[in-house]
Amino acid sequence: MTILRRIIGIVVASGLTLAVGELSYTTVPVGTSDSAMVRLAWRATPARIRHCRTLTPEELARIPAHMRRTEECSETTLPYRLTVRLDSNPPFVLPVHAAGARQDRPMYVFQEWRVLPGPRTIRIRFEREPVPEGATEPLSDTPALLVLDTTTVISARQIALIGYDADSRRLVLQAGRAP
Amino acid sequence: MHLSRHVEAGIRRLLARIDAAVNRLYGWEGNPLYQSGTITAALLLIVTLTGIYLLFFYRLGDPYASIARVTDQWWGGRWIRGLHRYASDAAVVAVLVHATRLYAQGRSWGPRALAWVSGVGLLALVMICGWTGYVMIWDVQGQLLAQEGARLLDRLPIFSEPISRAFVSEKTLPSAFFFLNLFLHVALPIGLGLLLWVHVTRVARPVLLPPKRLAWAITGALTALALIRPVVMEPRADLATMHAQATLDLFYSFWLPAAMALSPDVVWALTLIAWAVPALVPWWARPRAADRPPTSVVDEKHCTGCEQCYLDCPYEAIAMLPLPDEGERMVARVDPSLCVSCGLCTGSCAPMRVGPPARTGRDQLVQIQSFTAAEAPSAETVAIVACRRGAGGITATGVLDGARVHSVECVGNLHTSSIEYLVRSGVQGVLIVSCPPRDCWTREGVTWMEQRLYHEREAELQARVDRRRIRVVHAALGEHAEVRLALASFREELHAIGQTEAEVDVSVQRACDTELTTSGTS
Repeated sequence: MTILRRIIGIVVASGLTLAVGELSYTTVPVGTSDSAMVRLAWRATPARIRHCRTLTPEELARIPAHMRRTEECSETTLPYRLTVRLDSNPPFVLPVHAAGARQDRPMYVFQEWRVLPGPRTIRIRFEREPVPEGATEPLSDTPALLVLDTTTVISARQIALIGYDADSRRLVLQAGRAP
Repeated sequence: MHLSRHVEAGIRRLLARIDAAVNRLYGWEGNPLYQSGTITAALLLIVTLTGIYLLFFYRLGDPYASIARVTDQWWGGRWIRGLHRYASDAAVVAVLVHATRLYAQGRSWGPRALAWVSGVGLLALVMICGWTGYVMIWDVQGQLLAQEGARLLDRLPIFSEPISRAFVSEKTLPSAFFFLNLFLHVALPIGLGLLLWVHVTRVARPVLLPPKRLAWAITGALTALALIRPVVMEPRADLATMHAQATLDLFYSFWLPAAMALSPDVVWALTLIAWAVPALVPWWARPRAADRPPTSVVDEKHCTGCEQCYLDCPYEAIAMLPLPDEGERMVARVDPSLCVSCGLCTGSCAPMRVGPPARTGRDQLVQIQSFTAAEAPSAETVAIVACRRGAGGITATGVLDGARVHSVECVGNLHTSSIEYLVRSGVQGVLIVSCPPRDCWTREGVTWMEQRLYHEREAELQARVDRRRIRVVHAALGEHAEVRLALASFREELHAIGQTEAEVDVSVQRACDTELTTSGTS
């Protein structure tokens, strides 16, 4: 192997090694610098309701004596309706059900909107659906209606986070830090 | 023609040129392209060792600060972190080279399907390891990877609570997140080890590490890179800010900008396609049944039970089993589901009774007879026996600078009796042109052939054959000029040795078999 080939070999190997280093640190755009975001994220306990009915004598007769109960109840949770209006845009409406296959887990809200930086009017209603006829009064820590109506200035690349404060039982705007 | 054959042939032509160029620079012994599989294993070893060091400094309570502290260790942590990162990057390159070569060489289907599919699984695990590794740092890239991963997982109907909700602010980030991520980053390499075992399980003698010189050269180059271009701490993750740009490791995060711009459904669909296509290569690249090479068969009646084919088989496709109704007599038996038709057993069978149909030692002898009969060997004749797939591509022309070329599937198939026949029938010399040993399509063909010629490995070349008249050279497909040079040099040496006398009746005798006498040319 000639010295020239050896030198070329070293140069090629060095070039490829440096290329690995370059590709390992490549700055790429992952978003735009002239937008901001409104993010809704919270967790809340749904309201539980019970539907009860009295069994007829015939139905009771079919049940073994030691298992007889005059009233049969089923428990479920009430969904909420989320309505969001950003500035003068058409409202965004989303039914929010309790999570889980049997809808017995807490409700979760997680929505994001890209917006232009500047003053933004945000109107949010998180409202419980009416109690169906015949159901018991709902049991819940979460109020039947949560409202947020605010105007805030959101800087470029800032995320305005809106959450639910379980202690004060209201929606709160946690403005993101300006970059 | 099968579409895959066209693609394979195209890649092979490209690889032939690249191999030839790299061989000129580093020699075939130092060609990293021939060692892509073992280089990957060596790089993963480097990643594991450097990772163990880094693990001692990692703090779950404040991951970013702990990694920043390691990076500030100018005497150790900084370059070890760099080596950890760059070796991980190089491993991705090595895997892709490895997969491309094996696909182009048609070594992805049939009994090799397990190795191929497990290889795809290994790459997937490596990518996930890289993912968790960058999340550990908890800089902007780590944040984006975590958030994008959560967004994709949320699309699957398996979590009752959206995982993305965890990444809305530092307050909502569960303390268990970094522990879980660290656990995955440490546990996945164990899975890698297990899958690597599956990957090589069908190979009799897997080679897991590259030659020392090459291993040290690569380690040295990456260490130098870690020193010249030390790792730097990117800005800390900030969940309250949208990032306009980020510094990404494109080997692991190349997909991130595109994925962030697409819906999770599209990303999942593209991901599935991107992994399904390579994972299904063994099925769509498989030749039609009629085009598949036949597997080896053993003539059990004449099998001496010497075990040589069983020892030589690189794929453990041959077992020694007792012959029914013949007491304790053991014979070799080929498992067709494991045989890749490499034909190495052909060269190991002294009685010439094993091998793929039409490629046994006896068949080779007949072909060599026809070869010599076509042109009467003379004192000036040099016969070239060349590997069909490599050997500078000389088998395509049939003649090289006046020397006739006899093409074989692999020189490892070559029975030494054929060489003996050629020498004793009057050719001045036999030039055996093989692929470079590190790039042997049958894994050990070149090694076994050289041992049979020079180191008495069964079925060895008989002592009566003048070794000076045999020359073995290694050449990749694109090294045509190198073969010509080797031929010219061999001719000069043969000229110095002097002429040989042709035998009238060439008797190729095997101690363990009946004598095979054939008529030679004088």
